[in-house]
Amino acid sequence: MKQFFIVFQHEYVGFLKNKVYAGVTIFLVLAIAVVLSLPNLLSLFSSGDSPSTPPADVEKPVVLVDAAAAGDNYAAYLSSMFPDYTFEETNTAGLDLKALINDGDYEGAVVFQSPMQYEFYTKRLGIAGSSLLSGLSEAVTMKMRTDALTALGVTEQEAAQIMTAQPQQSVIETGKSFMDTYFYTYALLFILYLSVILYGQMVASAVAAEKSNRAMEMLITTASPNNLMFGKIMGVGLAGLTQVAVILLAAFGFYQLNASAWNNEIIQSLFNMPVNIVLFTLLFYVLGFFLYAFLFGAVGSLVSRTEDVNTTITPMMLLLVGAFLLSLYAMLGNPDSPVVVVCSFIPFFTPMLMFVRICMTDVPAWQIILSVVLTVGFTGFMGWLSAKIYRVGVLMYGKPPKPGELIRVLKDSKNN
Amino acid sequence: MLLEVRNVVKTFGEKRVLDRINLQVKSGAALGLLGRNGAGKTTTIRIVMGVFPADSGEILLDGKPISKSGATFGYLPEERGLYPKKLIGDQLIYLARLRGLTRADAVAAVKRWLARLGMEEFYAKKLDTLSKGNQQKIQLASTLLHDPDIVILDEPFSGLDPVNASLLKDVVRELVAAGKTVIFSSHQMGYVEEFCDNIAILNGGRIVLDGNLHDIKMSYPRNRILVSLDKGDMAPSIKAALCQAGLDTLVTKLTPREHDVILQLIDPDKRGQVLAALSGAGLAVDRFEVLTPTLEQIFVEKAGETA
Repeated sequence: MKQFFIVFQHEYVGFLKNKVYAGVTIFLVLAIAVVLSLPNLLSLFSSGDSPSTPPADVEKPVVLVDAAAAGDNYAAYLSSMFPDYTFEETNTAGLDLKALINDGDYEGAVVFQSPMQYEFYTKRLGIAGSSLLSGLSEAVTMKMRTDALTALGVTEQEAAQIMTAQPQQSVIETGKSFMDTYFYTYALLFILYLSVILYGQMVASAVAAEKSNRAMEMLITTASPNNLMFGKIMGVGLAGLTQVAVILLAAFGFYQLNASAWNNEIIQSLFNMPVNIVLFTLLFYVLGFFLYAFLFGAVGSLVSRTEDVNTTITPMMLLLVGAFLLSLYAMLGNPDSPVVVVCSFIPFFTPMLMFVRICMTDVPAWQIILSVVLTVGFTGFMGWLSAKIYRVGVLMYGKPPKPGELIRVLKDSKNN
Repeated sequence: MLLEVRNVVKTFGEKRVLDRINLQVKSGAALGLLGRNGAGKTTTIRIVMGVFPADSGEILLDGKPISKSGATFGYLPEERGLYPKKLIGDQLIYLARLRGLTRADAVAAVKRWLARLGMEEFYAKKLDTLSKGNQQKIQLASTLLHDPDIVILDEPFSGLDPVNASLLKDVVRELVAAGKTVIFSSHQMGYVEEFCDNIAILNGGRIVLDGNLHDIKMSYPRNRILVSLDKGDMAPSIKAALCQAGLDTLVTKLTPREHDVILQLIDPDKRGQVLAALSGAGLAVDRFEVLTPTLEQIFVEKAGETA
């Protein structure tokens, strides 16, 4: 046990001292700090010279209006609808509108053929132009309807009330709300997926590296293989957890500092996740990491050269990617679909899929417990199997064995 | 302390790698474990150290199973390797602690051994910045840090320059003198002859020769005499001197070489008469010795047979 802790401590401290690990962590924390402080930073830069409405002396773009065919005071009406523009009533017959607009004298022109028919001239239909265009269509429709209502004897005020009446709707979701859960589920799922891949791979390459630089020859005669393997996996696992925890804490911390400046729904829903979800993230990180880390450790022990690690871990990578895609399908499609429910009990998928289900739907407690028990049991089995493979694998050099050979060797070493 | 390997058998798959191996190593006397590549040396060593078990047979220390003795091992593997990117001090302390030293003891031991090997200044350097010979010394330090009871050195001299080799020789002699049980495996027979009182030659998974090196040498025929004179044409002078003494029938073969002559006698006990005849004839004899086979010759003879 003492040996285990020495290996564990060595691996963990090794990570903390590693410049790349520390650098990446610090970089991510800084990035989070900058992004989350963005609203405050921006207002810092623009403070002093900005009440948020533009100053009055800035010249507004001028749009020509030829509304002889549509009605009186059209330019004034449009000016009241679009405060950012000035509308000028003009007879455009005989004017070269193209030239006027292309020369930049005017922003655009609206020429009515009838109350509900007009031509809109603009130099290029950019974002500003198209928003003006869509606004125009609404304004013209409204004007026509108001005019029609007043013609029927309705007062202008009543007409305006009728025109702007809107139903007050409120939605009551009886299950978990998609919008509330989607973003944090996605963020956490992604963190889960990335860290399991990243740290699992690190376990595999660390084991393979010890073999390829032959430090294993010393280690294997110094410490028991179980202590070496479990110590390493726990060390890497805790290093990963530390990194994830630092990043999440930084995110929450900087969000709290800047919370008042954020009024973006996505960001708010991200940080208003329930506490039990944070705990589930932790649980499933641990489950997912160990399940895959044991596999990665065993595979790493079979490889003699670090260059071979990547090809050998491909099957596990596919499994992980499969689990991730299935979880995305569950998130975007139907988290209650039978396929998703069944797969969420398969230990390889549980950490991500059950996590998504818990985040986005109401999963019965017995299902959560069952899936966790299954995964813990299966992880224990994988740990046992990996230790056996590791014990044999670290002394094998040359090409990684094929599955058949491996089973034979494991049988041979049964009495170990 | 007596380390015994008794009737050890090990198979990997279909292949019988060790076939009833028997060895004995006493503390204070090094054993030279010899054999061609693939003869089973490393497997024997790994079984002794408990890396994997034997199919049958026992490893005993003073008559008791070694796994229960609590004896500590120091192993210098033939395939060297430590962490190339880690600081030397850090990794040595790590290995020492894995072998049961406290942190303080580990630090002290690392400093002591680095000083002993003249490597103090490398404590805070990365391993891969060192030359091959210096890396080898670090590896040796890692083997001996925890003052092991049983020391197993596999090709410890490879890659060392003569100065470092002589430093290592001193260390090995100290280990033997301190009563450690030392197993020494090497293809460099000169070093084996220098350190090992006993040898065992493995060939194809069997021990083909073992015992006290001196006794083994004495067991070879002692009828070949090397003679060298200080000057002159040696072979004719010797022939003449022997004829003069009437001893030419005693010598069945006379082989002149560049700097000496080899005489093959009918009876090795008669060599005194030959020497007397040579001095009687007034020849100035520089060397007159019974030729015993070198370990290298014995090894080639024993290990070259069936492998």
